[in-house]
Amino acid sequence: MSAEHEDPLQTFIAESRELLLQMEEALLDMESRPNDPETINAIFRAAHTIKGSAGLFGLDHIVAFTHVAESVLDRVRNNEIALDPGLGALLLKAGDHLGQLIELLAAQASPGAAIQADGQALQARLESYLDAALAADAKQPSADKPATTADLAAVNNPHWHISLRFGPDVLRHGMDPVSILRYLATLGEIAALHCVTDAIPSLAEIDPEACYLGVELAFASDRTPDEINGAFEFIRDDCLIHVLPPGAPLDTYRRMIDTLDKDAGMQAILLALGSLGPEEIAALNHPGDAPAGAASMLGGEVAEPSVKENKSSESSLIRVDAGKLDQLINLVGELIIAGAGASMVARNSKLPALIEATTLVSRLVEDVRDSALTLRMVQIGATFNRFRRVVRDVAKEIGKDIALDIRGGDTELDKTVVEKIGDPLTHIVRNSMDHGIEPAEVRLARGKPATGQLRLNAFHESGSIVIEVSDDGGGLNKARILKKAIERGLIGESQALSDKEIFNLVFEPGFSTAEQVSKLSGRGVGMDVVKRNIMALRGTVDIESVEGVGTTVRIRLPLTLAIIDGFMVGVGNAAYVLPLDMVVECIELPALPASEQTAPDYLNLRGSVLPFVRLREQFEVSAPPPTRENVVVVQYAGQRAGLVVDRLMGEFQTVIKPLGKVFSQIRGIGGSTILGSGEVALILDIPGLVRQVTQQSQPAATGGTETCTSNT
Amino acid sequence: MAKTILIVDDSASLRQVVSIALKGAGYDVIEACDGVDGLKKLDGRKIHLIISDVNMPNMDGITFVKESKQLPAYKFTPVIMLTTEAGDAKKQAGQAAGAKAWVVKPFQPAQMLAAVGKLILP
Amino acid sequence: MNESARSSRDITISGELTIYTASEWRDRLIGEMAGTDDIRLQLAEVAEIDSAGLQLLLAAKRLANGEGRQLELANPSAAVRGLFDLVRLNEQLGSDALHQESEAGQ
Repeated sequence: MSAEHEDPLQTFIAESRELLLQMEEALLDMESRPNDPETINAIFRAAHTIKGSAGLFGLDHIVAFTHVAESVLDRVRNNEIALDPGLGALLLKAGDHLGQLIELLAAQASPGAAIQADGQALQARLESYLDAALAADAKQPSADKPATTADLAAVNNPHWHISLRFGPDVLRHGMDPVSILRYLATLGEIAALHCVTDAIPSLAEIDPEACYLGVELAFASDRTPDEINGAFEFIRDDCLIHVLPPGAPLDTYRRMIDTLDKDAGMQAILLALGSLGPEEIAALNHPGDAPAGAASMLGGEVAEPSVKENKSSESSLIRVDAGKLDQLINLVGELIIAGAGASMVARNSKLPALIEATTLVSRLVEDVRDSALTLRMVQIGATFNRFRRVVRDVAKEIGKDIALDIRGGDTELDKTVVEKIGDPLTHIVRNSMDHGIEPAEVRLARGKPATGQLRLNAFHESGSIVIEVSDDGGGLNKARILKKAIERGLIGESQALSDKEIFNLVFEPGFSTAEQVSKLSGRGVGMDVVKRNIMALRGTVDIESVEGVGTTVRIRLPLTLAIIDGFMVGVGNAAYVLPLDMVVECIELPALPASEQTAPDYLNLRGSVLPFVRLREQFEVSAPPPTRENVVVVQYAGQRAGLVVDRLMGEFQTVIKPLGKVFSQIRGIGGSTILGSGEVALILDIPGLVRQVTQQSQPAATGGTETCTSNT
Repeated sequence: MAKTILIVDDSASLRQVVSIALKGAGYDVIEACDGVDGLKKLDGRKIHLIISDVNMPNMDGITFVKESKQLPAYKFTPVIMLTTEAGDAKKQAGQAAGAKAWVVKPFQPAQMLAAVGKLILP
Repeated sequence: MNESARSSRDITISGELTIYTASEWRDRLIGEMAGTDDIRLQLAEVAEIDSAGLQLLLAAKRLANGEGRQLELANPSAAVRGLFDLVRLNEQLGSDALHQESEAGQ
């Protein structure tokens, strides 16, 4: 699919980001579990993979930097260097630097002087962990020992002479002498060749998988000795190899023949190949004649053959452009609307076969929608794990000892939501660390463990994802919040507020609880912005806190932003849609004695009190109520409420279309949708309605204290 | 018929680039993302050469090569290990497992083509 | 080409003659070559040959020659001829190393 069209460099960038995250995670793991080999290996592997791939793209600066980190990690892996906190911190910084390099690459920019200087400083610090022995492992295997001192005349041969005796195991290892000769032929021309077959035994004695072959050849090539020797690099250990350059000293031939003394007729072969002339053969047998000639060896670079574009991937994961997924989801949305339209036409037509067919189509469309949506779902774990670094760094910076506990990392939610929740979450976490968790002395004095606990938790609850940030810190000081709120004119002095209302004051614009604004939390972004960001995601945020025990900030977000399973109700001529997963049950509104028909409205639901709201009144529908009204019982964030409607119209899949800004102030409406008939229905903002109903109904006195779920 | 090469590496970008280079040179290429996946790809089809990374999740390259050498159809298939300068011990372990050829990471596509060419030409 | 007085037997090698099949072919050849006849190895159907295959052919030749029999490599396929050309065995074994019974193979 899309992997086929993707630029490998983009794959590299995405892959590197992922690996750097894994590396960071593993490095942070190391602090709690030092010396875990698998963790060390994971860190090493990340550096190793980035370096390996960077080399393919010629990203030499990334290779050079990663190389040092990788070397240090290799030492760590071999227990030659201990991964102490100092080195851990250094490696984290190195990871950050690499991240910068990757981001620059993504932005098609090159590192500026400052970043380069940073890199060099880090590299120097990493290098200090490597002892002198490092120098030894950096080089590629170099060429065969060149023929030694040329104290004899150079031979006349303009060709290379190559002598090969293959080891018995080369065939078993997949190294075929024939392939090597074919490769050699790509580097030059085999001018003459003699195949040494003397060692091949009779068929009765042969080991068919052992190699008995040898080759003597004259080779015309202008390649460097390194390149020609390179042809044999994989068989060097098993084979007897002589590579004599053109005009090699006669002595090198003599020594070669000496090592091959088993092979009779070498002189004849050399003569036949033209490697040695008759005089040279004669001189071989009478050493100590002519003075030295020059044996020249040239160095040079391999010319790189060009590479054609042609790609594929057979691996089980494919990367897909998020834009394409969005397009798919949009199309599925349109499909749902069109499907609903078709169903409606079918129902009106009263043709059983058509109704049956459209029912089947609807079910399939539903499945398609579910599958399409899961494509966008990602685990929140990666986002949570990022906080390990934040918590660690911030804790160090503010001098507090704070442990982070992550739960529910495998909870899935929509990718767009995940992307947008990072910033608000960061702010809440920093706020908790800064203002929530007390300094160690205070904690000890209060009988708490010195190490503060911060917990990130995520779970699904009735169609929402709930994200909690809990701390076991000092909790919110209600009196101080009230005082400040009154000071700022947010509330009147005599106003009675519930705990929840008091806590929620911190989300008001321009509110800051800590008497001293620290440089972390006091960075201009207030909790009001956090709340705004979360509301923009159709989410809500609440605070629970018990003074001296801790605070939990609870964010509720929809699983997806695009489509909901709706439940349609009618009031007068208008249709409204509720998210189906918030609907608990539907009952008939009992006829109430006129005396009881006063606001606030309550209903006795099997012995418990159910506050309700009449949508007719809420939305000022003028049509007269029918004789029998229905109550839809909805639940949000543990609170139940009833909505009184005229008609129950059944389940209905809905594509959410956001309302324009003009309507954003209307209470109780969360969006709109288009019905199959083309009419518009409003989507009810159940969280807003439930809040409205319960606030009206709850006595303003302090509610029961809800404890903070920390300390584990 | 083009020679077929199996490349086993956990880096998708590396596989992609190597694959482009090899296909451009006239080889057929099959990809696997780790040792386990690699063994899955050794399903009896003709494979003329295996290129395998050492460090991979799930099943490392050394184990993968050892396992592949147990399969009759692949016991003589040449293997190129992707090693690092820092990994001399790994190179030896790879050789012991039966991977006699290697390419040092990081490498240029041309270096990979040269190494492959020494074992099989397209 | 054969000495007229002697009988000769044809053995056809087909398919792959490589390290993967070398042991198998060795056993078959030993079995089929048993006897006193000269041997003609028919190589027209060899689809693939490598160094192990080459060695095996030469080892068969060595076995026959050691017993005073002739072994002829006949009708080489393109794969066999390509290999013999590369290692220049035609020249080395004499011009009749690879026999062409008909012109078809050219």
